[in-house]
This record gives sequence, C-alpha cells and structure tokens, in this order.
Amino acid sequence: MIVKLLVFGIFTDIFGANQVDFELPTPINVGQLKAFIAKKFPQTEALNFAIAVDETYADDDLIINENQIIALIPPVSGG
Amino acid sequence: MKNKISVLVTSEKLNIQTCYDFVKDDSCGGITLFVGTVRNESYQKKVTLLNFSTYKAMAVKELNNIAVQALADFTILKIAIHHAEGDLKIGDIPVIIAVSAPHRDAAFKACQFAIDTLKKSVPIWKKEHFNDGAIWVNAHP
Repeated sequence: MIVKLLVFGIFTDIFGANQVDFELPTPINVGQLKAFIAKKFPQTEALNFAIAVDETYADDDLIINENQIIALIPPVSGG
Repeated sequence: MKNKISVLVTSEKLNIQTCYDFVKDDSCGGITLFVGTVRNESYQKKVTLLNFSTYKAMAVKELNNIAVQALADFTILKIAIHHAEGDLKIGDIPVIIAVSAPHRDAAFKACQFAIDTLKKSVPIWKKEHFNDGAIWVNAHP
C-alpha cells in the first residue's frame, strides 16, 4: 500500500519535504514502519522519533491501515 | 469541562490578558501565569530569531489532553494554554499558561505540570537562528 507520511521539524530537512509517499509492505505495524524509515534514512535513527496515527501517538504494535494519517514526530521542543 | 479549558495554537501575537481573563473567577483565591519568553542567547551564541513550527491539529489535541489531565489531577477551576507558531523575536512570547484555583498550591502545581508536559509531548518544534546558521532544538543527529 502507499501511505502518505507527514514530516515535521528536523525531518523536513532530512526528507527535503513536508510530506512523502511511501510504498509499504502489508500488513505493517508502527514499529516496523519506524525500522523501515530508519533503514532508508539512517540520519533519522539516532533521533528516537515517534509516530502518530490519526493525530495520536501510536504504540509500536498498532497496525497501520490505508487512508490513516501517519506523521513522523522527531523530538519536540515547544514552550 | 469545555468551558474550563482554553487552548490555542496561533500565528497571532499571544495575549496575557486574554488568558488571565479566561481563568479568572470569583471562587478562586489565586491565578498562576507562566509566560515563556524568547531569550537572546543559546549555546553561548546570540539568537537572532526563533521559528516555531507545529503539527497544528495534533498539537491542539495534545494541549487539550494536558488541560483535561490538569483538571483531573489538581483542584483547579480553569486552565488556558496558548502557544505561538511562526517567527518570534527576542522578548516575544511563545507560550502562556494560566491556571485558576481556590487555593494557590494547586494552581502552582498544575501550571508546572502543564508546561513540563507540553515540552515533552506536544508536537511543536523550535528552530533557533543565529548569525552563522540555525539548529533544531532537541535534535542533533
């Protein structure tokens, strides 16, 4: 399946975009998606990023479905 | 619950009075206000500009979660959490938290809880600009 990933913060520099489309094997869970991204973009691995699914932080065992909003959340620094 | 919470992520200038007025109530003996300000130095370098980018839809949800949690965990009446996005100059205000409570102890504690949790979980990113470049705060690959 093709998923659209929203990217933020330092990830916009690494990916050179605010969103990227990825062809992913199915089924895939959040932990597997993290590993997939860390392998494809080694610069992301040290960042210990989180993934949000439909605007909520997701646990590694959550299965990702098509048409969900997936976001890569690098370390936050608000305030 | 809803009329006890004011959450905002905006590119407009934040307003301390708006937050204060929202939480003010005759039943409360105290109001705490935390006001974040952009400081002029970081890593011993002069800061020229800060940029805050947000995942706005999720940031609003997370701020609301913090407010709901604060209302559940502390004996407070109302809470406002407002955060800025976009470019901010030295002295500008990126964040305001206002909490009202019958007694001061809960107001102080809830305010501290809200800013500490915001810094850990709300999807907002700060980029510090210097004369010789810029860095994403908290992210050093």
